[in-house]
Amino acid sequence: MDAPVHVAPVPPREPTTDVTPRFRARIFRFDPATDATPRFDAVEVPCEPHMRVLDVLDHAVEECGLSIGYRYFCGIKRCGMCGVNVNGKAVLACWEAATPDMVIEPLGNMPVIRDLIVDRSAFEQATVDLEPRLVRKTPYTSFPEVYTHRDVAATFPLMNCIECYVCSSTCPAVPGPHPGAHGREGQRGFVGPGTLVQIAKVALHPKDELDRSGMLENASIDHCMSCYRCEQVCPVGIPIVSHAIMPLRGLAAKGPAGKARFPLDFADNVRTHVDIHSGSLFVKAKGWVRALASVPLVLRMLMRGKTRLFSRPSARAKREVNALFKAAGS
Amino acid sequence: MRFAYYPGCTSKGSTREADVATKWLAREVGIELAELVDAGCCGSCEIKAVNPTLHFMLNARILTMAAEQDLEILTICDTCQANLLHTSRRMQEESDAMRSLLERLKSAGVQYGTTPRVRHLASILLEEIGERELRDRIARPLAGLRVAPFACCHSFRGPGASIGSREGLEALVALSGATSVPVRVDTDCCGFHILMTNEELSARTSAKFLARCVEMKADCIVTTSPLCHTALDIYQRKAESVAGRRFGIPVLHLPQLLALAFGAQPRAVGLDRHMVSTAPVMRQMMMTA
Repeated sequence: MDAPVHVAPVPPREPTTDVTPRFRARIFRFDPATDATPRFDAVEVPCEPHMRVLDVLDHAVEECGLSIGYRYFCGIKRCGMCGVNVNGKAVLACWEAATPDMVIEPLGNMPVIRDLIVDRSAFEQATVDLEPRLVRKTPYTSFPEVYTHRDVAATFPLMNCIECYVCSSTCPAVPGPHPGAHGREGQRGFVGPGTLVQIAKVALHPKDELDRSGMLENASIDHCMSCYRCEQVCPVGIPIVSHAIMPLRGLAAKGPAGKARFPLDFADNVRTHVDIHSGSLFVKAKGWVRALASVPLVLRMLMRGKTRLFSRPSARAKREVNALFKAAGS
Repeated sequence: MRFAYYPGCTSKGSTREADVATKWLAREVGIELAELVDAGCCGSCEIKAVNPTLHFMLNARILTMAAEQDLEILTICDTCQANLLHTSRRMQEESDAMRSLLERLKSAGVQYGTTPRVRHLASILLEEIGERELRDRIARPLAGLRVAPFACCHSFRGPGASIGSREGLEALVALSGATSVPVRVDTDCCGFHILMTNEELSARTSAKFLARCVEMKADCIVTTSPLCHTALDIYQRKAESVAGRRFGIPVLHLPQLLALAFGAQPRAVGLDRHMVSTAPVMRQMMMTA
């Protein structure tokens, strides 16, 4: 994807009496089996009311004779198959309005199969590996079982997910085109927000009884940068960070290996120091050995007056903050 | 014009120059800052993961400290701003969650009353002082200085987003006389929030933005968040080692940039405290002076 690409210029318009406004699109073309580098094909499409990106692609194939590879099934924001990047923004082709000048590319963070078709199998496999099913041990209390809106409040917004993985395609924490690949000690790279939404649907369900903390900490959930990019691009408006990733991070923090316990260390630090005391948090999070390796950086910071060695919260502030921790059940 | 000033933990620790520059700038434009001493941490993005109730309560306590003085809050960190704004929105809801929070706050001895308005310094400058007056105060236009604005993700995305924050930053950069270079794309993130858990990934993330700054010939970055500053300035060497190339891009806090345009001496606003030398910015300023 980083290789230089050939951009075909849009041919100059020939004099015509046709005054219909036209949309111009440059469409990404690449077949790994035959092409050494990607290129862009340029098309001009007569503008029609309510035209979508998907309509532009259809026109490019049916009227312009381009054999573009793209994928869709329903055309109404349900199947989640038609994700593409339009002018750098990850969208669903069936739900994005066409604009006069477009660059249409495949979604990021996934290998290209052909043109606009990407291989989502790494994300899908990561989802399957993390047990996206309700695991219950206690018997049903009745049939059908009664739920109130409070019971399902945590999972309800997540049920709208159409599994398009548009969120994962734009996540800066996903490690390139091989998301969720296993690394050292069975630790995966970050599995991406799309997978975590699927897991949160069951992990936050009141009837789920599987301890998921171990598998979540191995899924590198603590690599989420809280940038909210996934929420911004989600075609169905799921608050992914607030309603899926944050609660799952809370579960992972209690994992047996302690790999994702940073939020707990952070909370302890606030309880002790009121303000964050970055020095002690650094040592706690990284351990003494890695902290010692950072001594040169700390010395440079001290020379520039950029760190404080001791925190000095007042007794009153400590008392008040501790009371909050107690009242919040923490 | 008096505000309850909430600098946040980082501006009292590893980015103290942001605090120094804010106080200099506030004096210059006639804003009186009543600092919220011992207000404590807003919880960043961590406490909400393990205990969302505690997260809201910590922020509600800060809001109460300002409300007791009948003051609006002025923040200088986009993450603190987002957390306080999100909490203030929650506290103004008529919901069970809000009523439960009120009860818990009461049991912890916090008498939550009114909800004060929470704004970032950049918004207050534009909305209260106004572009015309700010422009009149420019003593040393930073003409020729190419600045890459970097607004924190939390300022324009997520539950604590402030409308127009990115545009506000760009307007203030333009007002200083500098040229705004549109380096930041939507997928950019400074990686601050994983610095403690995965320094390498954080560095790779910030390196992408820093590399583009070099390619687009930006002289410096300016940010509205001390957390982004930490990742881009203090850890820039790490980003350089991950990328295998040198960047050497100075990272300024917004109040520093404006203070320089208002005629401040660089040391008076802490430009000597940065980890990446700010000399290229100084040179550019001397060339255009």
